[in-house]
Amino acid sequence: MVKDNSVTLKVKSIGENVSLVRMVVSGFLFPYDLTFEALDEIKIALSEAVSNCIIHGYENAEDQEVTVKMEVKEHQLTIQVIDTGIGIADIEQAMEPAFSTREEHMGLGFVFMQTFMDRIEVYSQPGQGTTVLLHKTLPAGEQKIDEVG
Amino acid sequence: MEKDTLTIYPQGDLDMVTAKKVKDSLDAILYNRSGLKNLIINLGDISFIDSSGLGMLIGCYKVMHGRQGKMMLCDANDTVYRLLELSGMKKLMPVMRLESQRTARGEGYGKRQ
Repeated sequence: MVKDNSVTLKVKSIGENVSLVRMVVSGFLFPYDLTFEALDEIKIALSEAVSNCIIHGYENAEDQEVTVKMEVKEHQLTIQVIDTGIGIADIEQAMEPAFSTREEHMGLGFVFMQTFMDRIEVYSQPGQGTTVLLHKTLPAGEQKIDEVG
Repeated sequence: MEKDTLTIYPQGDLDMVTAKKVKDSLDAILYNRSGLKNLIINLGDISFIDSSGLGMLIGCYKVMHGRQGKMMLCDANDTVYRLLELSGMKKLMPVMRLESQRTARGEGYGKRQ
């Protein structure tokens, strides 16, 4: 039985930290016997959430902070991605496919989060920042030591 | 005479940082080579892509389309290919997946970070 675990990261709001957060989630989830596809899907969803904080929440200001809390409790993965940026006025609209406030973006961030996670929650108010929760049930299988590495 | 086809081989992850670097270098090349009509982006060494990377590919498509050129994506791994499908990219341009992956699953795929 793999133990429950949690990790909290606070990173500066620079684009380079998006890949750092992906690396940390890969390491964090390593003991939980995920397939490459499942791990890739979580990495994509998390990449979208953290990129959103930097690009939209902080409008590319690099002196802010993004908090990422990863937790596994009884095979339930929850990742909270928190910024204290400009917030979202209309969450429903922001989650529509192809909606983007910026022309160079495709408006797929929330679509990918919804596609690749079991469930997502978004809490936001203008000026109050945004918190996104990404939920996924992990496989309940025993860890096989001989398959590691 | 100037060649009218360019193939590029970006490597690693295509996210908001790296996608911008690829786009900037590509813009410089495209600016200097007005005769370039065909752009092939080989995704064989791309292990990860998110919507920022896809946005960059769409940006390149718009530039090529604007100069009556063509663009093609090739050697996408399984995950990358799936995102290209999901994002509707396949409707805009030819997308080839990495053939070997269907049979040799696990060989050279999914470098775990």
